[in-house]
Amino acid sequence: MHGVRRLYEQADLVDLIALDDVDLTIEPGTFVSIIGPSGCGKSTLLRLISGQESADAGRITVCGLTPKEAAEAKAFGFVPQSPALLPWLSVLGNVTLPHKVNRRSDRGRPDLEAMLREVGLGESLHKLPAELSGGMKQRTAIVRAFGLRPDVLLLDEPFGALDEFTREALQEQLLELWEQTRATVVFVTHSISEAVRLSDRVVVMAPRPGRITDIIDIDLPRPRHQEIITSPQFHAYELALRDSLRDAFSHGEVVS
Amino acid sequence: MSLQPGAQTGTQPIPPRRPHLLVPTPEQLAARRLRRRTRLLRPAYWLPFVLLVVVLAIAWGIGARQMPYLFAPLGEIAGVLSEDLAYFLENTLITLGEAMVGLGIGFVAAFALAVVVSEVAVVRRAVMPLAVVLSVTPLVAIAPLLVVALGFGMAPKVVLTALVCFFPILINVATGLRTVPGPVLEVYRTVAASRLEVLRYLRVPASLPYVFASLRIVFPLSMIGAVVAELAAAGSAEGLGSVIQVASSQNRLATVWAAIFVLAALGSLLFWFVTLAERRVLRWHQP
Repeated sequence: MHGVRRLYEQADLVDLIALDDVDLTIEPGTFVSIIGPSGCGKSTLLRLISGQESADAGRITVCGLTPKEAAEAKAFGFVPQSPALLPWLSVLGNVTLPHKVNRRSDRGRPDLEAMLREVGLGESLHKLPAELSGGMKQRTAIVRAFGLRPDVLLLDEPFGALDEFTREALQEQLLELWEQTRATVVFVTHSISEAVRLSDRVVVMAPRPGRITDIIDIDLPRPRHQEIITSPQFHAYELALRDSLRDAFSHGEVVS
Repeated sequence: MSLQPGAQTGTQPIPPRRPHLLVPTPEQLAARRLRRRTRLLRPAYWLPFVLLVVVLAIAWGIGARQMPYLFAPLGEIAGVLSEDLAYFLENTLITLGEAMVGLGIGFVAAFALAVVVSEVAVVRRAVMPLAVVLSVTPLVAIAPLLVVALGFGMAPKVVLTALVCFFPILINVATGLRTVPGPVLEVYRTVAASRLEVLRYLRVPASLPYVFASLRIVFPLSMIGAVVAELAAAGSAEGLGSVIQVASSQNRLATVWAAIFVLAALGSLLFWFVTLAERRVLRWHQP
C-alpha cells in the first residue's frame, strides 16, 4: 500500500484522519503484526486491505489486485475480535458455510473435520457455539479462516478477550496452522509479547493521525515454542518494541 | 516445592486425578428419573391452578343466578356443547380455515415486504413509519366496510385476518432481518458473499426468533380477525362468529358461551402449537 489516507467524518462534522500517508509493503508468506495504542487505525487498516472500506487517497494492491477484486477471488480469511459464529450452525457448519458463498471463486474445501480435530475440537464438531468456551469459539473462527486456503489472513485482535492460558495455547495452534499453509498474515494486536512471539515483522503505529512510526524485524528461529518466551533474545525484542511504542505514544501527545 | 518449570515432573509420581463427577448408583438413577418424570403429577404443580378454576366456577354459578342475561349455567353450556358437537365442530373448522388462510396470505405478503424493507433503505424509510402506525390501529374496526365491499362469503374474513396479521409480522421480521452482528457480516463480506447469500444464509435464519415472536402474536390475532368479520356479516350463516351472532339475537346464552369456550380452547391450541414448533426450530436460541 502506498500513501494511504482514510478520513472519517465525526459528529462535529470535522474529518478525523484515521490513517495518514501509510506506506507498507508486506512480503508474501510472512507473518506481520500491527501494534499500537487504541485509535491508531489498526482495524481501519485491515478493513482497507480487505476492501470493506476504500481509501480516500493512496493505493492498495493485494497480490496485484485491488482489495475488492481480491475479496471477490476469496483471497482473504478474516478473524474478527469476537468469534462471530452463527448460533444456529454447529462448529462444522460454521467453518463450512464460507465455502458455500461466492462458490465460483472457492479454492476447494480442505478436510475441515481434520483441521478442527487438530485444534482440539474433535469432540465438538456437532456442538452449537453456545455450548463452547470462549477459546473454543475463537479456535473455530480461526479454522473457518484457514479453511478457506486464503492468500492473506487478517486477524483483528483475535485473542483480546481470552485469558492468558487460553491465549498462549491458541497462539501455539495459530503458528502450527500457519506453518502448514504459509499464508501471509496480518495480525492486529495490542500485546507486545504476542507480537514478538508470532511475527516476522512488527509494524508500530501511532494515533492522531494514525500512521506507521516504526517497523521491527523479529529474527527469532521458527518453529517458536512455549520455551522461547523465557529466552533473552525474546526479552530484548520485547524491550525494543516497548521503547518504540513509548516513542509512538509521546510523539502523538506532542502533536495533539 | 520448586518454582522451576518442569521440576515437578522429575522423580515424583503424578498423583491420580480425583474424580470431578459423582455418578449415581443404578438405584439412585432410577429414583431420580422417576422423580423427574412424575414432577408434573405433584400437587405443588397443578393444585394452584385447579383451585383457581374451582373458585372461578363457583363464582360463575353465583353470577349465573344473579345475572341470567349475561351468564349461562356451566352445566347448560356443557350440555349444549355435547348435544351439538357436530354443529360446533363444523363451524369451528370454518372459522379456523378462514383464520389460517388469512394468516398464510398475510404472512407471505408481510415476509416478502420485510425482505424488501430490510434490503432497500428508501423503501424502509417510506414504509416503516406507516407500518408502526397501522400496527397500533385496531384494524378490525373496518370489518363492516369489508363486508359491504366484499359480501357475505369467505372473502371479507380472509382479507380482515390477513390485514390484522400483516403489520405485526412485517415489523418483527423487518427488525429480525437486521439483527446479524457487524463482525459476522464483515467475515462474509471479506469472502464477497452476494446480497442474496447474506440474506439466505445469515439474515433469514437470524430473523427466526423474531418470526416466532410475531407468530405467537398473530396466531391468536387471526382468530380474532375471523370472528370479528363473521360478527360483522350479519347474514352469513357459517363460522363461530355467526353462531354467536345468531344465538345471542335469539337469547340462547348457553350457545353463545359454548362458542366462546371453543374459541378460547382453539386459541390456546394454536398458541401451544407455535410454542412447540418454536422449541423444535429454535433449539440454538437461548432467550
